[in-house]
Amino acid sequence: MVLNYEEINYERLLEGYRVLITGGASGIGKETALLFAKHGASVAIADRDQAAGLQTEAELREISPESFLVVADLGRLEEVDRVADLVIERFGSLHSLVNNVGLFEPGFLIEQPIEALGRMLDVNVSGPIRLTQRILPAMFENRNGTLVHILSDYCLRGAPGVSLFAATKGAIYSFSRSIAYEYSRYNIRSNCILPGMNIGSHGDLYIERYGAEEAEADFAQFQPLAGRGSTLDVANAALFLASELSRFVNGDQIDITGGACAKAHKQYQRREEANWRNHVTFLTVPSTEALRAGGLK
Amino acid sequence: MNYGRLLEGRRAVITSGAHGMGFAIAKMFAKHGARVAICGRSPTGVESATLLQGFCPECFFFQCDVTHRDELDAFCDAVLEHFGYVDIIVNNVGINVRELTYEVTDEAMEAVFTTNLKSIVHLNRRLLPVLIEKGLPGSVIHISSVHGHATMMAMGSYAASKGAIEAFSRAMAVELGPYGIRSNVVAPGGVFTMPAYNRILTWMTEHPGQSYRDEIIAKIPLDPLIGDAALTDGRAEDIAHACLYFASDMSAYVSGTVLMQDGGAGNQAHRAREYPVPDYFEDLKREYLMAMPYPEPGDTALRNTSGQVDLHKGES
Repeated sequence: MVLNYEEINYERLLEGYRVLITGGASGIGKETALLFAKHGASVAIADRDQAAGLQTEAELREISPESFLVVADLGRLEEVDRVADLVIERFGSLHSLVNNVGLFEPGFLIEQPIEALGRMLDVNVSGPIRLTQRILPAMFENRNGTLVHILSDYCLRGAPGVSLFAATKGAIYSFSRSIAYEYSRYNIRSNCILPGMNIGSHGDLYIERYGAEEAEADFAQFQPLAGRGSTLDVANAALFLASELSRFVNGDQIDITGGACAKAHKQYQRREEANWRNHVTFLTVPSTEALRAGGLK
Repeated sequence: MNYGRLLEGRRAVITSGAHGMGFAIAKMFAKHGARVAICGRSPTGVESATLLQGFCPECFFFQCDVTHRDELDAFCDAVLEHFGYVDIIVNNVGINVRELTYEVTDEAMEAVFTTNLKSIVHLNRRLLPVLIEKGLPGSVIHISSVHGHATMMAMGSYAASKGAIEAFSRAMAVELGPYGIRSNVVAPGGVFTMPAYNRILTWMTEHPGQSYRDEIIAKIPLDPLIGDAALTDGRAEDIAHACLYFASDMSAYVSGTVLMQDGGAGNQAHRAREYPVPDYFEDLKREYLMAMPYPEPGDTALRNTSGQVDLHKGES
């Protein structure tokens, strides 16, 4: 699409866009869906949480009447196919896909059941790849499309207790880079967003575990900027990457870490060594089921 | 957040902001409500400032060579006098000397590092303490280059200076974060500005009467420009959009990062030998190329990236 820079309406950056956002019922996905709708997009959200999904769908429809919800478990390929079929049937063609859904099961490698890897591979890797594979052809006819993968800071930087999760998110990071070159021919770009540890449900869990004061002190050690990142920060990055504002950005990523991505030796700056032990407990005590029940992504 | 006026009330300084990419950034910022100060070596920058004043009357141009410390100091004084403080700094100025790594001269290294790094360090240490004292948040944007990541022949000194800027930006992100000041890098790749335009003009003097546009369209998909990273038509406005993102509250929690604006050129491992190219891909590329403001045979005046004749000939 040839862009007339003088006529861009910055308040309606996604006018006429049809987008699909996975995990769009709550958290980062919901914030992104609402922001996209405000910018003129018709938004399909796919989520397994029906109650929250219906609530979000109602909010979306007030802004963008064509928006709708598909209830599905995106860790199962047949369900992913059903989502793709439904969305393509309703929208005809798509302009943007936001792969946001994710499953986070922390734990130390030697203690973690290998089944956890299988579960995370299903939701974090197989689901998004299958969905992208199905949605891409529906973008070709627009000669314009954007893929936005919401991943994690752990794609690029390590931390103890998240190795399996990091491996699955890193898979999509690499996937994004290669499809960026496969489909730039069709004017389709692929980019990632890497939110840091204090954003969204991940940050909420940390605060729940240590209390607001302790968590705040830790965030201040890790992230040069004060406070927590918000889901709106992620939504804004998604807006930038989904819209023509980023038409020359391809195969790249935006870190939303409050500057933590530029900081080395974080571990030596922890206030007390005891905190580190707590972190270990935090990672091993909650069961996978409990974490899932808590709505963790 | 008002997405139509993302920089309302902000005060920005952009080095080398009178033409090309710098001017596109200045214009974008002014359109979004910022007061913008630009500097440049050529006195024609006054005309650029006049255009900016159409969006925001307080924009101004200051003629200075950033490699001269006294001139750079005078620019900083002027900025502080006009604006009081600045909360957006775009370190855009940069030069390139093309010499091989094993032949590069001291003079070339000195010239490149003085302009691309030392001038930036000095400008920032003059302006940032004022902002810190005010207790206001801010954003520093460094214009690096794809050459800071992946480079080509005879770009060693330039690539090194751009890598240095990125490291410096990370250090700024760590130190300034507690004051609410962010520091990020935009790394452009092949962007159509004056140097590219000048290369095409040179090509046209060597091929009198021929159209570069026809030539490049005829070569699809063989032209080396049309690689698999098919986004080869970057425009100064695209860089301006990235700067708008980093300058505004859209990126309120983004600091210490590097955003490549290169269509994917820097992260590409290699091109595909075989790939099914659909018919309409050529149409798409042709559409892009038709929209590019290439010079036509007989053109003598430079045009800017919006297609208007550019007044800042000779400075690029």
